[in-house]
Amino acid sequence: MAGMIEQNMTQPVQGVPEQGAAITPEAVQENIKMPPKLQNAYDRIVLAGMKIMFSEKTNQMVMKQMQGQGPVSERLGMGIAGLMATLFKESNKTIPPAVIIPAGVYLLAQAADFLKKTQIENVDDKTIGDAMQIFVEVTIKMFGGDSDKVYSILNGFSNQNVKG
Amino acid sequence: MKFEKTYLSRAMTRAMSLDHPIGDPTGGPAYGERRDPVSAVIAVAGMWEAGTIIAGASTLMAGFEALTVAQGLMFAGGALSLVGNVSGNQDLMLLGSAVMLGGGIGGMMSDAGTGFNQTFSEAFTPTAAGPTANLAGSPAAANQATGTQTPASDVLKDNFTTTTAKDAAIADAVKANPEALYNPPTSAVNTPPAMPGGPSGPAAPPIGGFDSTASQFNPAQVAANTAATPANTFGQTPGSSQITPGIIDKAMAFAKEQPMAAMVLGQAAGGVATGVMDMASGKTTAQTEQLKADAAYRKSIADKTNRDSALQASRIAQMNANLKGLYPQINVNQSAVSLGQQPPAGLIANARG
Repeated sequence: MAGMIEQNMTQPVQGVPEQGAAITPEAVQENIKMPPKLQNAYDRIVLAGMKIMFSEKTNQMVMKQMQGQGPVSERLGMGIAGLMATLFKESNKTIPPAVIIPAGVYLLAQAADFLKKTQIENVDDKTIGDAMQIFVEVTIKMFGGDSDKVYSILNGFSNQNVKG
Repeated sequence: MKFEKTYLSRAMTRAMSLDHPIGDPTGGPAYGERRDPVSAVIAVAGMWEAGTIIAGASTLMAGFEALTVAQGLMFAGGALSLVGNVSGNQDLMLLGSAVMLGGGIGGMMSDAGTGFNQTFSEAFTPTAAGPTANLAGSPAAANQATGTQTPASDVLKDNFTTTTAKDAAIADAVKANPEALYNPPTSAVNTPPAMPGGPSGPAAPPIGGFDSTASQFNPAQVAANTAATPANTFGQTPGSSQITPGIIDKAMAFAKEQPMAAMVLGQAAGGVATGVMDMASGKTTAQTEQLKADAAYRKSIADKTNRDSALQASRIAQMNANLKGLYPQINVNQSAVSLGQQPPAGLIANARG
């Protein structure tokens, strides 16, 4: 009997479908293409963000923030936008603005992965997608942009590319 | 020996992956010299000091520097497209399509030929009040801070100034709660000043001898791009969010009600200060690796907790199954043996008797 138990200890848990497993931080990272010139800044910002999210001193605080009210996607998107804004402000605006969105997208994927694995929140692919959209729109707005106009411009360019 | 320093335009230096004066081995960004024209403008703009409030109470930046935030869409375009595809979020896919503007990695290095900055200058137009505007102030100031301006050309005006259902919904929300006036409908409330350097605006003052508007904003180019736009073949409605309309406004309002919500992320024990210092100071490789390991360690603890929990559940389930096989009469569950399986009281007493 003991052997059976030992044998089963190494087997994965059955009957628990993994939801939202397609979007992983690794997959997101692979699809972020930073120019060599900005790669170092990107790495450092990601590192700073990771440290804030997962360091012993701040992890509990961040998790408490993440477990607030409202939809998970909203909390996640707003949380990462706030994190990036905080980093930007605390760095005396020395962070290259072009790095904000890529770094935030990756950190959001990391945060979602963390929430998913620790089962703090039920985070699926759709939640991550919505959170990323909120993050990008809020970030654009924080920097004085208009996300609706960005959509319009991108839509125009998309159509031009389709037409060739 | 006297060196002649030659500075290329930003587009040229980017294209060549060079951002330092040619012929000067002791100069360039590594020595703190960034003298190409656009960086000069950025340096002047960077001197702006205003009380910015985190996460939406005011814009963090406006104008040309803010414009480069949109360039981040190009770099993260692949990831946004991936997530958009997997999650079925068409808006995210559209945002991800920004990667096409760069024409690949090589194209990302240069704005030349892509018209990226010229195009996106519409969406990131600086305003007179600009970054110093506080959303807690007048509605007009709020409009300016959120970057909602009068379009620079009639062509764009037709495209951008529309009274949609979303606008109406926001108008209703604003009527119900005037405090939530962060992004009012463009048609009724907005009367922003004409953009400096735009067709109807005053001429922009040259900064440091460089006519910034001539390089950064080209109305003719924008109009040409827009006019050449064919019919929408993607079936996407610009800005049509699958998320509840006004979500950004709600998020902004949330941030305003809880201005420390974002700051709390890092204010605990100087976490942000440490993180930013690490980022900005350029630590040694060993130290950086150590920091990375720390972050990974924290994450691995979470992973381990998750694995332990799953393992424990598996172990209990297996033990229960085995026990049930050996003792089918026993009702095995998480709780103690029920009273039904206990020997009847008084059995021993009866035997003794």
